[in-house]
Amino acid sequence: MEFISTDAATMSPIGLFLQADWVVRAVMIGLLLASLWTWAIILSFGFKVSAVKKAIDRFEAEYREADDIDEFHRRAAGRDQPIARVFAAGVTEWRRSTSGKAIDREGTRERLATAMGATIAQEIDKLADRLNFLATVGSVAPFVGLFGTVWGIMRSFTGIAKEQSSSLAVVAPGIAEALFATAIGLFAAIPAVIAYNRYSHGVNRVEARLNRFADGFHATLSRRLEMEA
Amino acid sequence: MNRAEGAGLTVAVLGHVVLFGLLSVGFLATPNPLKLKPTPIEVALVDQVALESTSPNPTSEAPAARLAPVEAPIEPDSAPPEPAPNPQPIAKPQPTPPKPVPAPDAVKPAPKAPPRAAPAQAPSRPAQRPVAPTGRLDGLLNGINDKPSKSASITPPAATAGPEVKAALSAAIIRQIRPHWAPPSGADSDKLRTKVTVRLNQDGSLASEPQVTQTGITDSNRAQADLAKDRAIRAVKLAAPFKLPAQFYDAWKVIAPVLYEDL
Repeated sequence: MEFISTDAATMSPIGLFLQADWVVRAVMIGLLLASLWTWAIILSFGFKVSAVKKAIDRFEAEYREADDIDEFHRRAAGRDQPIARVFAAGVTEWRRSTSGKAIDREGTRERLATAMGATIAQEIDKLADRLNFLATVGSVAPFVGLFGTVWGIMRSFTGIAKEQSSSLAVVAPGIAEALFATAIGLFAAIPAVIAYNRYSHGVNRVEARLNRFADGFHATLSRRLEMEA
Repeated sequence: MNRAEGAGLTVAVLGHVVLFGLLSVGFLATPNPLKLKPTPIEVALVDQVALESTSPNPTSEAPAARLAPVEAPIEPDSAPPEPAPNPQPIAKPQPTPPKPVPAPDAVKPAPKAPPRAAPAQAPSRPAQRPVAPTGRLDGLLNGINDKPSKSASITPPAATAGPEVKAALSAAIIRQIRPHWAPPSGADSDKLRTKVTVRLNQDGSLASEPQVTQTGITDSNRAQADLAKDRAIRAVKLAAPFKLPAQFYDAWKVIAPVLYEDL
């Protein structure tokens, strides 16, 4: 352990942590956990969004090549993909609406749009579930770090009052460890803000593509409704 | 938390551990900022002065009882050097040079003659008047002995402290006080000058209670003046007994070091 420098004169995080007040320590631990969870979300979300986009590409290609919707539904509706669930919701609603004798075309069109829209909203909600944590960390972590800094600097100044000496050596370590709280806050917040903006854009694009697919499928079903009637 | 988030969390934990570990072993450590301060130039004029008096110690023994009356040696009369006889050019200028043989013969004896005469005279004259042992050197060594001084004084009066010695003494005093001197710091604290006057015993211990006078008190550092006074007295007391050369006790019987912040 002797190669880990806990000296106040170096920028060792462990040294700064060990010298800090318990309030500042709590702030540091909280911000460090927030940073860990932020990066876990960033990494997993990157994989998730790219997987969803690839799945949409492949599904749309297969849908364009498919001749029979019922046959394609048997093949593809069971997949664990958002676009497959939207497709399955549309097909299910279509079958329910056309199983009776009298077919209400307008009502069927409305129900189809509503069912697929609801499925899209549900899928997007599920996809964007963790984004709110990124937004929270991005906006709150700097303030939490600032709270730790203010507390640590207040403690340093009471140290001046106690020692009756305003030498820089008395206050410098306390201020350094206090500023370390803000540093961790920014360390957690900056990736969170960047990732939030980037993944919000990614989720919006996924939603737009799902909507376009749903619109196209709705148009297909609507044409077929007219042919069957 | 699904599988992707578990994997992400693992990677995040590993990344944080690596990053903070690198920072902890001084990966991005800045050089010690204290070393960036310009080191003050130390002017060591006094430390090179020896703490020994350069003046010779006179013997404190009584002078010799009698000095031998030594007669001044009689200067032997020396005859004025005789002027060398001008060599007479015997060889007459001959119009015909083809006769070299007789010419050198004639010239040689002439210059040799005068030097031979002078050294022959000089050594012969002292020998002519030898100093006979007369017993007049008796008592020449009477005043010289190798016995120690019978004086009771510990500090020989001869070793007076000159300005160099005084400077070296005050430097030695400051050097011994400095480790115990903890000046208060604050606004204008560098302007405070605290002079501690104290009488010392011969073994360097304090013979009197230190007296303090202060200068350089401003409105800003008035609050620290009393603290500086207490700490100055404490520093002098902690520094005692002073280790100073005993032969200059007269010079450090009373010391009055001036203490200030950047001592």
